[in-house]
Amino acid sequence: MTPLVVDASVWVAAADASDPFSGRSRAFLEAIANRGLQVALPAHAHVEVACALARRMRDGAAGRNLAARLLQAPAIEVYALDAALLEQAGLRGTNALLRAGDAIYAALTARVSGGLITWDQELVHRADASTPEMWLSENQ
Amino acid sequence: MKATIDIPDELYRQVKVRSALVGRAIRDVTIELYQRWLGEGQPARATKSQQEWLQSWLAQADEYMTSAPPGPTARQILEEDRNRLEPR
Repeated sequence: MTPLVVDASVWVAAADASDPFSGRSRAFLEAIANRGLQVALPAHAHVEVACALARRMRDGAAGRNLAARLLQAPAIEVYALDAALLEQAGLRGTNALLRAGDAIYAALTARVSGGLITWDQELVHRADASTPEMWLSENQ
Repeated sequence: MKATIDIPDELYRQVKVRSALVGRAIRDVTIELYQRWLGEGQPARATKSQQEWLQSWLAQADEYMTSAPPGPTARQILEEDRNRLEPR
Protein backbone atom coordinates (compact mmCIF):
# COMPACT_ATOMS: atom_id res chain seq x y z
CA MET A 1 0.00 0.00 0.00
CA THR A 2 1.20 3.48 -0.78
CA PRO A 3 2.10 5.70 2.17
CA LEU A 4 0.18 8.80 3.13
CA VAL A 5 1.77 12.17 3.73
CA VAL A 6 -0.07 13.61 6.71
CA ASP A 7 0.23 17.37 7.01
CA ALA A 8 0.98 19.03 10.36
CA SER A 9 -2.56 20.46 10.45
CA VAL A 10 -3.95 16.96 11.00
CA TRP A 11 -1.50 16.12 13.78
CA VAL A 12 -2.05 19.33 15.72
CA ALA A 13 -5.83 19.13 15.29
CA ALA A 14 -5.76 15.58 16.65
CA ALA A 15 -3.58 16.61 19.58
CA ASP A 16 -5.80 19.53 20.55
CA ALA A 17 -9.13 18.13 21.72
CA SER A 18 -10.60 21.65 21.79
CA ASP A 19 -10.29 21.88 18.01
CA PRO A 20 -13.53 21.32 16.05
CA PHE A 21 -11.56 19.03 13.71
CA SER A 22 -9.95 17.01 16.50
CA GLY A 23 -12.43 14.15 16.50
CA ARG A 24 -12.26 13.68 12.74
CA SER A 25 -8.47 13.89 12.82
CA ARG A 26 -8.32 11.24 15.51
CA ALA A 27 -10.75 9.01 13.62
CA PHE A 28 -8.59 9.31 10.52
CA LEU A 29 -5.33 8.56 12.37
CA GLU A 30 -6.95 5.59 14.08
CA ALA A 31 -8.23 4.30 10.73
CA ILE A 32 -4.83 4.40 9.08
CA ALA A 33 -3.19 2.88 12.15
CA ASN A 34 -5.72 0.05 12.14
CA ARG A 35 -4.93 -0.60 8.48
CA GLY A 36 -1.22 -0.53 9.09
CA LEU A 37 -0.64 2.26 6.57
CA GLN A 38 2.75 3.90 6.48
CA VAL A 39 3.01 7.67 6.98
CA ALA A 40 5.65 9.83 5.32
CA LEU A 41 6.61 13.18 6.81
CA PRO A 42 8.98 15.82 5.48
CA ALA A 43 11.55 16.73 8.11
CA HIS A 44 10.13 20.21 8.67
CA ALA A 45 6.72 18.83 9.69
CA HIS A 46 7.87 18.08 13.21
CA VAL A 47 8.96 21.72 13.61
CA GLU A 48 5.51 22.88 12.52
CA VAL A 49 3.89 20.48 14.98
CA ALA A 50 6.23 21.41 17.84
CA CYS A 51 5.81 25.16 17.40
CA ALA A 52 2.04 25.15 16.90
CA LEU A 53 1.50 22.95 19.95
CA ALA A 54 3.97 24.91 22.07
CA ARG A 55 2.22 28.17 21.21
CA ARG A 56 -1.17 26.62 21.95
CA MET A 57 -0.07 25.24 25.31
CA ARG A 58 2.32 28.09 26.12
CA ASP A 59 4.74 25.27 26.93
CA GLY A 60 7.81 24.74 24.78
CA ALA A 61 8.88 21.47 26.40
CA ALA A 62 5.44 19.95 25.89
CA GLY A 63 5.43 20.95 22.22
CA ARG A 64 8.90 19.52 21.67
CA ASN A 65 8.02 16.31 23.48
CA LEU A 66 4.90 15.63 21.43
CA ALA A 67 6.75 16.39 18.19
CA ALA A 68 9.70 14.19 19.21
CA ARG A 69 7.35 11.31 19.98
CA LEU A 70 5.85 11.76 16.52
CA LEU A 71 9.24 11.00 15.01
CA GLN A 72 9.42 7.77 17.00
CA ALA A 73 6.09 6.39 15.79
CA PRO A 74 6.49 2.87 14.37
CA ALA A 75 4.75 3.66 11.07
CA ILE A 76 6.18 7.10 10.40
CA GLU A 77 9.09 7.63 8.06
CA VAL A 78 10.72 11.06 8.11
CA TYR A 79 12.30 12.32 4.91
CA ALA A 80 15.19 14.74 4.96
CA LEU A 81 14.88 17.91 2.93
CA ASP A 82 17.52 16.87 0.45
CA ALA A 83 18.46 18.65 -2.75
CA ALA A 84 16.25 16.47 -4.95
CA LEU A 85 13.18 17.00 -2.76
CA LEU A 86 13.73 20.75 -2.64
CA GLU A 87 14.17 20.93 -6.38
CA GLN A 88 10.91 19.03 -6.85
CA ALA A 89 9.24 21.32 -4.31
CA GLY A 90 10.38 24.36 -6.25
CA LEU A 91 8.94 22.95 -9.43
CA ARG A 92 5.61 21.90 -7.92
CA GLY A 93 5.28 25.01 -5.79
CA THR A 94 5.76 27.40 -8.68
CA ASN A 95 3.55 25.44 -11.04
CA ALA A 96 0.66 25.13 -8.57
CA LEU A 97 1.28 28.49 -6.83
CA LEU A 98 1.86 26.87 -3.47
CA ARG A 99 3.39 28.29 -0.34
CA ALA A 100 6.99 27.05 0.09
CA GLY A 101 6.25 24.76 3.03
CA ASP A 102 3.23 23.32 1.23
CA ALA A 103 5.34 22.66 -1.86
CA ILE A 104 7.58 20.39 0.22
CA TYR A 105 4.57 18.32 1.29
CA ALA A 106 3.47 18.11 -2.35
CA ALA A 107 6.94 17.09 -3.50
CA LEU A 108 7.20 14.37 -0.88
CA THR A 109 3.76 13.07 -1.85
CA ALA A 110 5.01 12.71 -5.42
CA ARG A 111 8.24 11.06 -4.30
CA VAL A 112 6.47 8.35 -2.31
CA SER A 113 3.65 8.05 -4.87
CA GLY A 114 1.22 8.49 -2.02
CA GLY A 115 -1.68 10.67 -1.01
CA LEU A 116 -1.58 13.97 0.85
CA ILE A 117 -3.93 14.48 3.79
CA THR A 118 -4.51 17.93 5.23
CA TRP A 119 -7.03 20.36 6.66
CA ASP A 120 -5.46 23.12 4.59
CA GLN A 121 -7.93 24.10 1.87
CA GLU A 122 -5.25 25.58 -0.37
CA LEU A 123 -3.45 22.23 -0.45
CA VAL A 124 -6.75 20.51 -1.17
CA HIS A 125 -7.52 22.82 -4.07
CA ARG A 126 -4.08 23.31 -5.54
CA ALA A 127 -2.18 20.13 -4.69
CA ASP A 128 -4.89 17.49 -5.06
CA ALA A 129 -4.81 16.75 -1.34
CA SER A 130 -7.69 15.26 0.66
CA THR A 131 -9.06 16.15 4.06
CA PRO A 132 -9.21 13.37 6.65
CA GLU A 133 -12.97 13.13 6.22
CA MET A 134 -12.63 12.90 2.43
CA TRP A 135 -10.16 10.06 2.90
CA LEU A 136 -12.43 8.32 5.40
CA SER A 137 -15.46 8.56 3.13
CA GLU A 138 -13.45 7.15 0.21
CA ASN A 139 -11.92 4.36 2.25
CA GLN A 140 -14.75 3.10 4.43
CA MET B 1 36.66 -0.64 21.01
CA LYS B 2 37.07 1.96 18.30
CA ALA B 3 36.49 1.11 14.66
CA THR B 4 37.08 3.13 11.52
CA ILE B 5 34.58 2.52 8.73
CA ASP B 6 34.40 4.06 5.27
CA ILE B 7 30.79 5.18 4.70
CA PRO B 8 29.41 6.86 1.55
CA ASP B 9 29.20 10.63 2.12
CA GLU B 10 25.52 10.94 1.21
CA LEU B 11 24.51 8.01 3.41
CA TYR B 12 26.39 9.44 6.37
CA ARG B 13 24.88 12.88 5.78
CA GLN B 14 21.37 11.38 5.87
CA VAL B 15 22.17 9.45 9.05
CA LYS B 16 23.51 12.63 10.63
CA VAL B 17 20.35 14.60 9.73
CA ARG B 18 18.05 11.87 11.00
CA SER B 19 20.02 11.44 14.23
CA ALA B 20 19.86 15.17 14.89
CA LEU B 21 16.15 15.20 14.22
CA VAL B 22 15.42 12.50 16.75
CA GLY B 23 18.01 13.82 19.21
CA ARG B 24 20.25 10.77 19.26
CA ALA B 25 23.99 10.38 18.94
CA ILE B 26 25.20 8.61 15.81
CA ARG B 27 27.22 6.28 18.05
CA ASP B 28 24.03 5.15 19.84
CA VAL B 29 22.21 4.60 16.56
CA THR B 30 25.14 2.61 15.18
CA ILE B 31 25.32 0.35 18.24
CA GLU B 32 21.59 -0.24 18.09
CA LEU B 33 21.75 -1.20 14.42
CA TYR B 34 24.59 -3.62 15.10
CA GLN B 35 22.58 -5.19 17.94
CA ARG B 36 19.54 -5.56 15.73
CA TRP B 37 21.60 -7.13 12.96
CA LEU B 38 22.99 -9.62 15.44
CA GLY B 39 19.55 -10.28 16.85
CA GLU B 40 20.55 -9.01 20.26
CA GLY B 41 19.49 -6.12 22.44
CA GLN B 42 16.50 -3.90 21.93
CA PRO B 43 14.98 -3.19 18.53
CA ALA B 44 15.58 0.27 17.10
CA ARG B 45 11.95 1.23 17.39
CA ALA B 46 9.45 0.43 20.03
CA THR B 47 7.77 -2.85 19.28
CA LYS B 48 4.35 -1.61 20.24
CA SER B 49 1.97 -1.26 17.40
CA GLN B 50 1.02 1.92 15.66
CA GLN B 51 -2.38 1.79 17.38
CA GLU B 52 -0.78 1.63 20.79
CA TRP B 53 1.60 4.41 19.89
CA LEU B 54 -1.27 6.61 18.66
CA GLN B 55 -3.34 6.08 21.81
CA SER B 56 -0.34 6.86 23.97
CA TRP B 57 0.49 9.98 21.95
CA LEU B 58 -3.09 11.29 22.12
CA ALA B 59 -3.28 10.58 25.84
CA GLN B 60 -0.10 12.56 26.36
CA ALA B 61 -1.52 15.41 24.28
CA ASP B 62 -4.75 15.39 26.31
CA GLU B 63 -2.75 15.54 29.51
CA TYR B 64 -0.74 18.53 28.30
CA MET B 65 -3.86 20.28 27.02
CA THR B 66 -5.52 20.26 30.41
CA SER B 67 -3.23 23.10 31.44
CA ALA B 68 -3.38 24.98 28.14
CA PRO B 69 -4.81 28.48 28.43
CA PRO B 70 -7.94 29.41 26.48
CA GLY B 71 -7.34 30.72 22.99
CA PRO B 72 -7.11 29.65 19.37
CA THR B 73 -6.52 25.96 18.78
CA ALA B 74 -3.17 24.62 17.63
CA ARG B 75 -4.57 24.12 14.11
CA GLN B 76 -5.78 27.71 14.00
CA ILE B 77 -2.35 28.87 15.14
CA LEU B 78 -0.74 26.78 12.40
CA GLU B 79 -3.21 28.13 9.86
CA GLU B 80 -2.34 31.66 10.92
CA ASP B 81 1.36 30.82 10.47
CA ARG B 82 0.52 29.74 6.95
CA ASN B 83 -1.63 32.74 6.21
CA ARG B 84 -1.51 33.85 2.59
CA LEU B 85 -1.95 37.43 1.60
CA GLU B 86 -3.21 36.85 -1.91
CA PRO B 87 -6.78 35.67 -2.60
CA ARG B 88 -7.23 31.95 -3.01
